[in-house]
Amino acid sequence: MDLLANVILGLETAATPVNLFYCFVGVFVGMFVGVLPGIGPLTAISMLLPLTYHFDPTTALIMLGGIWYGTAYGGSTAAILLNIPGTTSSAVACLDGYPMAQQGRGGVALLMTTVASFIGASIAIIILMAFAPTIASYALQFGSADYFSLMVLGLVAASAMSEGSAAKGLAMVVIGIILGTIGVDIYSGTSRFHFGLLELANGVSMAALAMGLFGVAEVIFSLRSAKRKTIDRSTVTFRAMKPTSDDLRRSWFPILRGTGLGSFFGTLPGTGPSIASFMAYAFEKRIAKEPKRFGKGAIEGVVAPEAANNAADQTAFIPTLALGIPGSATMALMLGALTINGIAPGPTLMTNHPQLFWGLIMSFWIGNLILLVLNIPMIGLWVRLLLVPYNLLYPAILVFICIGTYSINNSSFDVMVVAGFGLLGCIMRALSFPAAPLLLGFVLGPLMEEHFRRAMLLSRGDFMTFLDRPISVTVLIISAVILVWGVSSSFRANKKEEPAVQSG
Amino acid sequence: MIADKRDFISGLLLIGLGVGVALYAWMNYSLGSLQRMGPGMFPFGSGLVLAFFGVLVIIPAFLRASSEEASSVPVGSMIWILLSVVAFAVTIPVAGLAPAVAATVLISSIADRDFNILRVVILSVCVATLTYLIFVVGLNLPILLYRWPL
Repeated sequence: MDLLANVILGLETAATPVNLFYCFVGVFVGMFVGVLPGIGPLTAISMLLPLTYHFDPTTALIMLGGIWYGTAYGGSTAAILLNIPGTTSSAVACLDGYPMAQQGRGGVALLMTTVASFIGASIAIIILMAFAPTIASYALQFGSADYFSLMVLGLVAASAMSEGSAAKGLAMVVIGIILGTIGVDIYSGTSRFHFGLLELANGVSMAALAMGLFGVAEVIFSLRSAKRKTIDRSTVTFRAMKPTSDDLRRSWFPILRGTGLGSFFGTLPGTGPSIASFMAYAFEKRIAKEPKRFGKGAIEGVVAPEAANNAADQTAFIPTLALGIPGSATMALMLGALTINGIAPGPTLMTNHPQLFWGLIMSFWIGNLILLVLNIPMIGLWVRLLLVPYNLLYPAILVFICIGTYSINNSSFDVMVVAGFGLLGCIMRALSFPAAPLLLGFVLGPLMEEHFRRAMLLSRGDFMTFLDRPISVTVLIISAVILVWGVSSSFRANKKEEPAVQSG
Repeated sequence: MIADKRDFISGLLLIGLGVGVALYAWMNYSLGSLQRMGPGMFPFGSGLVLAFFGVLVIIPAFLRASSEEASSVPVGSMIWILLSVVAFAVTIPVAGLAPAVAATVLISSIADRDFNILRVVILSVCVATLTYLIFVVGLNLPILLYRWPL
């Protein structure tokens, strides 16, 4: 199949009225939660995950994808105007964006970040279109042992690099894997760890787990920090948005460099948009002629990270769609949305479900265009949204979480599970355990078990199968290096906690 | 002297949980052989790996000079918010959507510093209308708006 035919197929899928509508819903919600501090993409996607049980899988992914990259656009708005990052990946936009707003150049910063986001995302989509099919066709020859090793790498990298102690992150992955074993074992039909509860026979609901850990726990912790805010409205009028020719000249190369860095880091497990935007900022500062301007409203420091995090948002789909191995908790939820709809993720996705794959990618173009339009003329609306008090918002979020979970199976038990995971989320935060690796382990656990058992069956119980295959052994060596590096760094006495970067 | 108590407790919890899972899997499900694994093998192995990471969390706790900054749990708001979720689960099968929404909004609002009953009532009505439109009208789900008499 040639690319053109695929693109046309994708456009036909993405441009149906239903898909267009949910693409719009997705990016709108993404923009919405991106602007609002206190709700990140993970919370938003877990909140809308139940809806996708009632959708066609393509539509579901189009909507969830829209939320994911939509938040990257919205996140910078709060960062620039209020010095509050709407999402973690836009924390960098505070550094130079807020000083720009204080100088009355907030409008310029908003416009340029939108343009940078659009350019970054567009280039990354092209990279995605070019590489994902190639990687998938290569991956078709992977055996179960290779898959198992790749998942080990994904989990090790995601937990060792995300935040805080590597050992704690890895422990969370294993807890996720154990939670994933609850329910019926596919080989023997034995029901495991149900403790006499009939409701657990089908396993823990992924939506309930995600909403408890990310939604409920997030609400509990952001209640205290929510404050009243004020914004200087005059900087965000249309007229104040016009960049000077100096701004444009300065922005061009940082946008391209940011896109390059972002596209690269987006594909790696564990790094994702947050790390990509920090890297892009550090890089621009390093090569700048006058590094002193950074932190005082340098436009390069706003556009490069924004281009990077939007590019990373798109290229994060490469491992998820081509290999079926998500690099972050958010991507794990996307993968979960596929599996609940009975679609096996992996390299065969593109050939078995081309309309889903290409439809999703084409929807990225449409979604990014919608965001461009939503952002610039409607900036006033988003600014007003920033002023909605949190005490009106959080009860509504909780209700939405509850009814969303309930709606999946009309099950009150699942809503109770949400409360349980909310409690677990709080305990984990108190003991400074990261939550994202748990979700990643939970989604990948059953797949890992399946591949592990199949690999052992094929090798007749010989562990050497993981070391005999070239792909598997390479991947395991890389994992081991990351593991040793990550764990040993937490052994250093008096280690300073790095700023918590949630890999979302 | 254990400097970092929080990590020490965390590590103990992980070891306990890991060993517990491994034992439970070992006693209740068949492990099978390496070639033909039974349903208990993978959870058994995972439990042991978890206990191992628990040890890795405990060791540095002895080496560190002081406890790291942690986000303390806002216990008060946590209780109200978790209760509001439980209230939804209990109410909806008995009384329907609208009472469940009202219960959740009311109980979760208690966690708010400036609690205002009028705002709670208005918010409940708005949220109930919105969820009814999305889930019952929009998605055609079989959820009753209210059930009366109980």
